[in-house]
Amino acid sequence: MKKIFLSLSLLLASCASQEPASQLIQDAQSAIDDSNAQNCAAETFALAQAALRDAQKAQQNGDEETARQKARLAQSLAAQAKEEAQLNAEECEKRKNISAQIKEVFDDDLANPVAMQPDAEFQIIYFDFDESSLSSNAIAALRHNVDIMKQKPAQNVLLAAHTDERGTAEYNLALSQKRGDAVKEHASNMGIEPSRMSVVPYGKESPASTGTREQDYALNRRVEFISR
Amino acid sequence: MLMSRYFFLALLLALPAAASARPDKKDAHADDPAAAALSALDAKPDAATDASADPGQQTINQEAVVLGVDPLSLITVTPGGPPVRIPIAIPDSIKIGDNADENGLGRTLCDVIRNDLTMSGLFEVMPTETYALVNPAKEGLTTSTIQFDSWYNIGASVLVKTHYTVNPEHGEFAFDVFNVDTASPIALKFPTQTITPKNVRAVAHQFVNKLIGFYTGTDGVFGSRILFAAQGKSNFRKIQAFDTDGFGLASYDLPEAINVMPEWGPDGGILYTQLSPQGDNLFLYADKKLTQLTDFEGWASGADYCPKSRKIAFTGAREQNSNIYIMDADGSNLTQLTDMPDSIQTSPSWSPDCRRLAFVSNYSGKPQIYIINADGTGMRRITWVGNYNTTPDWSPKGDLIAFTARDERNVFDIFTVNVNSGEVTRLTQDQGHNREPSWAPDGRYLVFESTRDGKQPRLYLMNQDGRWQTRLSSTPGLKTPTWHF
Repeated sequence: MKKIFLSLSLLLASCASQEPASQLIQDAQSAIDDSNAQNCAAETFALAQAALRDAQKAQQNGDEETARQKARLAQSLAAQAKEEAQLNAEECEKRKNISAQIKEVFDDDLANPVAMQPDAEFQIIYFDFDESSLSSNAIAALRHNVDIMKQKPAQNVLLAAHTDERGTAEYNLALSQKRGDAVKEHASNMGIEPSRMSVVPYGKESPASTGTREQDYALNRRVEFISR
Repeated sequence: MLMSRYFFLALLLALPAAASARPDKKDAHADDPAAAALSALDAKPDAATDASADPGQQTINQEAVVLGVDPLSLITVTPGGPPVRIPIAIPDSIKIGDNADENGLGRTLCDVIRNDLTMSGLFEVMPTETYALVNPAKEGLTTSTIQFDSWYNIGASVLVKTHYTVNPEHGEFAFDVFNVDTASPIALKFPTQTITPKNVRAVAHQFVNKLIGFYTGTDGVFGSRILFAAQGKSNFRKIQAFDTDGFGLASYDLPEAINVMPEWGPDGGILYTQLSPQGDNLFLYADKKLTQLTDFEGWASGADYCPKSRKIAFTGAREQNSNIYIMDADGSNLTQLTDMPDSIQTSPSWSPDCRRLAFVSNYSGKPQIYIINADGTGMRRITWVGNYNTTPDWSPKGDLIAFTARDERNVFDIFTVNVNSGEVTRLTQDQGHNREPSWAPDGRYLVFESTRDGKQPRLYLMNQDGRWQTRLSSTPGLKTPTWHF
């Protein structure tokens, strides 16, 4: 489905008349801005951004043809990201809320003057009920985060580990620690220095969603990567 | 005449509290073991509980119960015989003189006394509507002028009469208590009190505590403080406390953070766990001064302070594995008590003599309650039913440990285990999730959180046998209560 959409876009793009590269780059930029997809179609979104950078570089080098090509690619990737984001709208909204909540907590934290900003590039690692082992989805998300950390060797992260609201307060704190430890161990096996990651268990005390449906619980069983 | 009077009283005591139809399932069957047993097998969610609001609540697997697949299901709330409560009448305070009681001191005093005595589970407060038979406002104050026959006829065996004079700022209150059956005053030593709007609730609590002491040999604990974590702004948590009846709410002036799991600390202070990007650590707030007590590489949480030894026990993780630690009240003399590999150890709770601790360990695979001597010797597991037993709280009498267990329906309820016999007793059932029990200093009551009235937990009180469950506050999101020692 996505592939068809992509090739169709490319086909349409290639049939278009020869517009100036600057116009195409501008269009791609607004398509990216408009896609609203950095939270839940992060990969495609990043690809679109990369294509746009290539287009800008090519234009600076006077290579109008490549610039046009890359700009069209960026535009279609942005459209694809937008569609992915819409398909996944519910989760997308939740993630944005999570980011906003974390930002609020750390911005307001008088006791902790060190600013803690969540990095939107990082994905949240989710867990199954009563589990501290990583599912295949969780491993994929972790690989994404590990790649970012490899690109930025100076960046350390906080692994904020959480459970859902079931269970009792202090035992959940210990369980969330186990989740954080599991993520840390996997990331270290993927080549990240353990000293670059510190786990802080939050137990059930800082839910991403305050509801009591299964999907709320699923959003709350998580480990978040926060740049520090 | 006397014979028949006592016969009537005996009948009255033997009757269930039919007049006060409480929603408490346990009470509903307190007089009928057969009904309770049936109900235990047919443990559907209580009609009063909004099952739709709580998808985690499912009907029990009856086959599992009958076959005894999991022993925890077989432990149900058991009837403890008919409630024996002393019928008591508390007519309105009688004002002497012309000055108006603008602050309603007399009314507040009687309201607090009636409410406390009802919550106590030791007295049955006779409904005030029935007092019209006596017309207490016109009644005299002396033994010879009190109409004991009329009080007897509305069912009271104890009569509390208060009268007062009002000065511009305060009232002078006198307290008299009578034995209706013998038509004579009882020797309760509770002198005349100067009451102001500020102290009226406290004096009423003190009177009730003395009255309970007169009838049981141990004073009551009404008016003492209960500490808990409440929802703060955004995702923060704040630490608050209120009286046993939910009045007198106060917030502690702490730095905004996720402040959780409060406990009463040394010198009138409080201990709590702050969760933050800098790590999870223990803080002491006393005399308006904040002290960070731990600085653990992993995390530290869940302090419990023992006043007699002035020691703090807590959960600490230097690396990945959490264990139980002990330190002095100022954070010095840190010693590691347990050293269990590859497992979780949390939630220490001191025995009243400070010589032993109860705690949670999942060393066996699932969390269970263990006890250990304060010198690290004599560790043993004491819960052998269920597979999620946490939050132990050692009773002030030393014989029981209250805890939270998850049963086969994934419902959380409150149980006690007898330290010596290992006998497990269920205190709550089929009323939402019930968690985090904490004993009253007299060992008569437990305060706990429950979701029976909504998704977010609220705080409730019950007697140590599970009777007389009462909501303390309608505010949602109150968690991990702890009663002042």
